[in-house]
Amino acid sequence: MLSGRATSRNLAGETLARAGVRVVRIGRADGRGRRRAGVAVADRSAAARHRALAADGVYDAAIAAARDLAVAPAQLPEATRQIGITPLPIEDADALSFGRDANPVRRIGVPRELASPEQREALAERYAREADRAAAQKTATSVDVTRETALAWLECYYVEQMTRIAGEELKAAQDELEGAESMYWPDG
Amino acid sequence: MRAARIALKRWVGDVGDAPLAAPPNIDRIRLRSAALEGPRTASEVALLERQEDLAASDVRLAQANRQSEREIALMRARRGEARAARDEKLRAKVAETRIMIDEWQHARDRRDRYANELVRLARERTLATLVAYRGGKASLHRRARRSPRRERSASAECRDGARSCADMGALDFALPETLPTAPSGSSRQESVR
Repeated sequence: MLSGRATSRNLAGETLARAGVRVVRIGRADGRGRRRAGVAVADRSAAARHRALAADGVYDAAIAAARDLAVAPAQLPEATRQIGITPLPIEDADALSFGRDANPVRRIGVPRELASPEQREALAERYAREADRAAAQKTATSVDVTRETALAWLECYYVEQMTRIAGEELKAAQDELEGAESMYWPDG
Repeated sequence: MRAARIALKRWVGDVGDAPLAAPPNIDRIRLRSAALEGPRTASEVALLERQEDLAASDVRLAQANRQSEREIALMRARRGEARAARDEKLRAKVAETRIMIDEWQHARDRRDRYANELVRLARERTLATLVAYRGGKASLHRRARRSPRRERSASAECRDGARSCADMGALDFALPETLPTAPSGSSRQESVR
């Protein structure tokens, strides 16, 4: 899952870039009166892109792993079932007998299932679908982060706009008050 | 205002403290009501589709492994659940998005009406009042003071309309690049309003 804070920020950076929205830091005067160069944090920058790609890597690794697993069943050699049991005593008193041998080291074979072409194909397909799901998850997460970032940006933008209008209202009200007072007390 | 900045910083980090540039164009969206039920409209629906595919492959795998009928039936039931979840999500998304498109159109109309008619009218009235006042033909009585107030009010309403409009813009903006694009003439414009 892609849930880290840093990862989300990386995707958010890509978001702003896709919107063509540039977050610009205006140069400020320092203590000596010199202006620092403005730093344009357009997220089209190589650094931002690099981070975004690194975040994508989290999902890409999962997708690649599932796709590799999808290929693996087809490349397995044909499984063969082992016939016979070893060791089988043939000389002493225990000859040709399984039950009386005191030797505890005896190969006990766990029967390995033979994978038919149909089974391999089904398994490969299953892993391929797993990879598809991981890719869809990646897209969904990216879209979520993008939407939330865009909403947060727009909220910020409009709150600032409304604050500015409210400030103008306040200033106008103060001007009106001063005007009314000067009319009421013209000599004051 | 601080809360909004904090919310932004959650997503973009310290750069969220910087002054904001002009907003993106929200007058055009790629989504079209008619195309909502098409493939890969919503990433959540696409994810559920992949989930359904995965469940279907589980059924085939169980059959290939010659598992018991009961186990295969269980896999089939899971695939059915996944399909139902996908269909339900698609219906919900289509309805939700159609509502948002409708609201976006109304909010855009409202904003345009305020910007083109009411704000302009209020501004002209303010100007006329100021000219009359400077010319000595009007005093600062109540009626004259009302003009600039109307202008600011109309301006605030206009911003409010734009804000409502922007929500849809954010949704549209978040669409994956793989989405089928709308017919020509409705592409995102570069100009900022």
